[in-house]
Amino acid sequence: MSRISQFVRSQSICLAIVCLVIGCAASAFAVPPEETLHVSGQITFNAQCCVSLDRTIAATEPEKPVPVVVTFEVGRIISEGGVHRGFLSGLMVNGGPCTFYGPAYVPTILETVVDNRTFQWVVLPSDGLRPGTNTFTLCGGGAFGSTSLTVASITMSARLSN
Amino acid sequence: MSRVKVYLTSLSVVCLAMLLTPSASAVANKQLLRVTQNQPFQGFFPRTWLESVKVTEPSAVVPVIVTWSTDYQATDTFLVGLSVNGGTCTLYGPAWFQPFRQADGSGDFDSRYFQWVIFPSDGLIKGNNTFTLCGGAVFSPSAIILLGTNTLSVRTMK
Repeated sequence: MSRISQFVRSQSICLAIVCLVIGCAASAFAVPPEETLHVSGQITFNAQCCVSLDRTIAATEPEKPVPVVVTFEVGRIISEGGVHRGFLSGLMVNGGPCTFYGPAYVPTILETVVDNRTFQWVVLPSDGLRPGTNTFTLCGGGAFGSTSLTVASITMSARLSN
Repeated sequence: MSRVKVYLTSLSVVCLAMLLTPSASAVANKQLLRVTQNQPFQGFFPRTWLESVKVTEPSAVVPVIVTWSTDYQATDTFLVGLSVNGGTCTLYGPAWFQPFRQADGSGDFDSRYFQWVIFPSDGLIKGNNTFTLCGGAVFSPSAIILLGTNTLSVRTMK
């Protein structure tokens, strides 16, 4: 009985260690949730450039900040309307002014066409990054006047450059 | 007199450095490049589009991912690819630009996002590797593409 008990105990300890290792490994590879954002369902932005579009992600910088690559994807552009066409998208870094850190145009799309667009933005330490938490807020609006943009989803992610 | 010569030589070196440096609106971090000035290109594929990034490969060379994201206007269909370490212009993935507007910078732009995977067998070498954009028109040598604000990045696969 004592031998069985010892065997069960040793096996339980081994199992616990394995579970702990697996748990730690999984969390090590997980992407911090604040660095990504995904919103699905019909989303409409109606603005003239450039205002906050109220979608924010964050990235944590080391003591010496490194560049951040922000990727923004709009899925299935359903319609773009208004008197003026052309919708610009950019970022507000740590609540600063709306700035274009790369391509910006969500193009004029005919209403019968559905399409996606992805943007890669490079934010450098000299753009206002600081040690610790940095926020990246989507901003933009119509390039030539108030414009409405409706999409089926948006995805944002931030990655520290290696 | 010799001091004047030294000054003039220094001035020449500074001027040369300024000429060789990318435009002030371009910021680079070896692996990352952000260009905020419109650049027109004309002519049949392939021609260099000048922008380049670099990455350092370890002893055991691993694949790299190059991502290019740009605003553009184009008067006709264009292709874009990469020259790896000064080699021939090659398409490593999606490559097409469709015509959009008059490539004169007026009005709105369209945008494109390309991600290319480069394998060791594509010519990567241990140490520094350079990736330069190249491209050109498919049908007409007089076609123009105007590249707007764009970013180019490279990273090794771990």
